Amino acid sequence: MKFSTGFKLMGKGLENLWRHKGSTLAAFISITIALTVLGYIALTWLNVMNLTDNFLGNLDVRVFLVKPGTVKKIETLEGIAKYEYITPDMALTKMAENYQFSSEYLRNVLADNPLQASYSLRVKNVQNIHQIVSTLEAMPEVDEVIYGGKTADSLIKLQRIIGGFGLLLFFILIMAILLIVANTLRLSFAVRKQEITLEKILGAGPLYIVAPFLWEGKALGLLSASAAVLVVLYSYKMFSAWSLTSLPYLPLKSLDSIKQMFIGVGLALGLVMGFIGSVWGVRRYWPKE
Amino acid sequence: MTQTPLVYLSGVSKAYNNNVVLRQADLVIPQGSFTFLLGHTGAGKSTLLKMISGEVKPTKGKIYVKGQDITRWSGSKKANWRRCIGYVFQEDRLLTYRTVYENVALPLEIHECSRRQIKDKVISILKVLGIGSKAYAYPDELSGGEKQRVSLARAIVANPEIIIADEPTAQLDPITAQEIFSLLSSLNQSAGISVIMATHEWELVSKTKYPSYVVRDGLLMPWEGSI
Repeated sequence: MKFSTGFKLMGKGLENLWRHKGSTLAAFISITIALTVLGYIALTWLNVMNLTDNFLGNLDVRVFLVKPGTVKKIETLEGIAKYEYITPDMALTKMAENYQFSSEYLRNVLADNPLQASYSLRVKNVQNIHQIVSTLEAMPEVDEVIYGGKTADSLIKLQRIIGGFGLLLFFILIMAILLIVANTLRLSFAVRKQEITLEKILGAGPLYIVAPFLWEGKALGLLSASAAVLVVLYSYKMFSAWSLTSLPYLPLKSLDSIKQMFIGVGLALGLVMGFIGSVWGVRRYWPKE
Repeated sequence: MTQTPLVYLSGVSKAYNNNVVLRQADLVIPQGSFTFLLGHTGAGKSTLLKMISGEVKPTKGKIYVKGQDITRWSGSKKANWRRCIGYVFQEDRLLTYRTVYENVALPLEIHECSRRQIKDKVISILKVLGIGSKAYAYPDELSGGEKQRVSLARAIVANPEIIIADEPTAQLDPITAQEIFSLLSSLNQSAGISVIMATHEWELVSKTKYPSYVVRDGLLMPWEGSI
């Protein structure tokens, strides 16, 4: 097919959108709403991830040793991002700082330093924290392991719930979008049935007949995605501004850090959904033989 | 040396479920010929024409186009063959939301002609058929005869090898019908385009010397001038 013909068929596809503008508008609004909801799900998920990662990234695992002295196998344990060996003396100094005593005073009061030597660890991936803690607890050199286990567990669970729920909703909405595009295209096909029959008789090939519908679907997807991206980003901008004054402790992802990704992924998603929906919509009418 | 016929039907039968429309039909359409196909409404003329264009597959038999069996052709090859055919239907089958110019341009668009070529060809064909002034009118603004002329313009604009005319004069008054027939006849004689025209207007056919066939009770046979 010539480039000029492809261009002409694209024009035909856009003309189709205009010819049944009522159903186009209804489809545009429905797809925009579905994509906007998808956008909000993605935003919620990204922020929950950000929040939990922030918390879990700073999660300290304290490993108290039976007797002072560094333990090589703790330092080289797989999954450990950072470690710090704390001698009993360092622990005492730190405690004095925390309670605003002089460490000299504490040393005088306490005949023997009762504090244990320990390791302060950061793990690479918090999802593996349980496994690492179990390994540490099994070591004979280790007396006790303390970490924010319950909080970490709750946050990991929250991440998983939102991720799972988001994924489910994502698939439902994607199916809804495909269905809307497919139905719009079926309607468009019905509107153009006389023309298509004539084109077939006059020798038009399958691609010539189907191409305008594929363009129509892609245009519908792209238009709706553009509107949805605008709505999501603008409302997020407003929410971010509001949260700065009303919820300053909430560590939201900045608009700049997500803007490009949302525009790119959003438009691509609209285009792909429009294309798949249109193929789905006209598959029954695809010229046979 | 004998010339390969443009279309040749050999023992062609067509049945829809148990209803036999055509039985063992043989037909030769030489290149550059004008052939009439007679028969009452529902006799099977349109089915025969659709089989020639490859729209309908015969239940039995072979259809050859320039010596090649079209019943074995792929969809795209059939589409290529249809591009060599100019169609004139009983009803004009013009797209009401397109102008006369756009309707006539449709086959050229399918042929992927350039905008310039389309413009030149469409304007000149409309002038030849005496409807140049109606180029930007919509079909609803035309008379029955004008619509059929537009339909004829659409059929010939892409220089077809054959015109398949399925009762093109059925809905026209006798004078306009004669005009359309004359146009088809002159296209056949001046441009050498083969024409196969289905009709049930026996009188019109009897005035000509073109070979004529009649479809009756599912049988295709030469027509000798009497019913």
